[in-house]
Amino acid sequence: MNLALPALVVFLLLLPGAIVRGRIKRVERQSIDYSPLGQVVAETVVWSAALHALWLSAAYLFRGELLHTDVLLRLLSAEPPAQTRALDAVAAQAGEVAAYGGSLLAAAYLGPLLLRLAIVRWRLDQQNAWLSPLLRFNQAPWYYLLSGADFPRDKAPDLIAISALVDIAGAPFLFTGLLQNFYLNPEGQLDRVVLSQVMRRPLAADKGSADEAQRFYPVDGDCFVLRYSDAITLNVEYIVLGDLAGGEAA
Amino acid sequence: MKALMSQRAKDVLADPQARGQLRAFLATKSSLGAAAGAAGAGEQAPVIELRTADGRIVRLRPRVWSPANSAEAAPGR
Repeated sequence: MNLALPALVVFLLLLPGAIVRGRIKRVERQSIDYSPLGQVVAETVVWSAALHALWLSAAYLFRGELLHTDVLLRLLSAEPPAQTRALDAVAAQAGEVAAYGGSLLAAAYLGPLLLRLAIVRWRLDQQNAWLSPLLRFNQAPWYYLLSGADFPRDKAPDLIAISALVDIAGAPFLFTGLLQNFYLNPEGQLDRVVLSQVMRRPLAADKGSADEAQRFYPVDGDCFVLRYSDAITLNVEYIVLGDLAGGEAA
Repeated sequence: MKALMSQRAKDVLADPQARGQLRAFLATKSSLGAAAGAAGAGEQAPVIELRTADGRIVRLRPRVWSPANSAEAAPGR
């Protein structure tokens, strides 16, 4: 069996970067990554280079180990004798090489999770934050729209009201309620929203009606599931519950 | 995914009377906005009276917030 050793070495060198790239993004699409190939390769190479530079620096500082570029280049060569000598050199330091690769892969897997937690915790990805161009999850528009992640914590609205126009048996009905949860499909599109305190009214009832509150009919139930595909339009409103002076004891 | 909902909103939804007042606001908010504009609608909006755990009644004024005006602070905060 022929093994394309140089290709395998390149794959192993780039693997940490590919893992970081895949895990650091909050991507709402789960099926296929349609990113341009050039962008994928560039991001993977940059992440890999950064991780290897960090790990090699640590290996030098704490263990006094230096990268043997001659061994690396021989591994990438097409001559079998040179590859054999390089493999012998790697085998002589199998423990160190395994520790380097294992710790690097573990960091590539867990590091992005911690970074994402920090980004969300400190809102580093807000639309107007100075780190936003670097840290914003650009492929997660529904996340920013419906989770309130774009608002500063002290100025965030209290809840979201959803109004949706739904066609029922040829007649348009307006449903309105408070957003509790939302779910996305594998393509990253909004699949359904879960509402509470839902009311509905036929739009035909708007004609000649004076009292708007009387036109709505409460919908019984704790949770109302509305499929996005059933909605003709979907209106999102952020609601603030502001304090009025004059709280009183009961 | 969990949608935006503050602890205050959860408290309002847990209080039957406050929940009803919030529902009344939801039913009328569009006409309030049309009548007085989004900013002025808050002056006419129904007041929500929330009974806290220690027995106090907190009065809240619901209003529609515009994300375009991100510098706008929520009143009373």
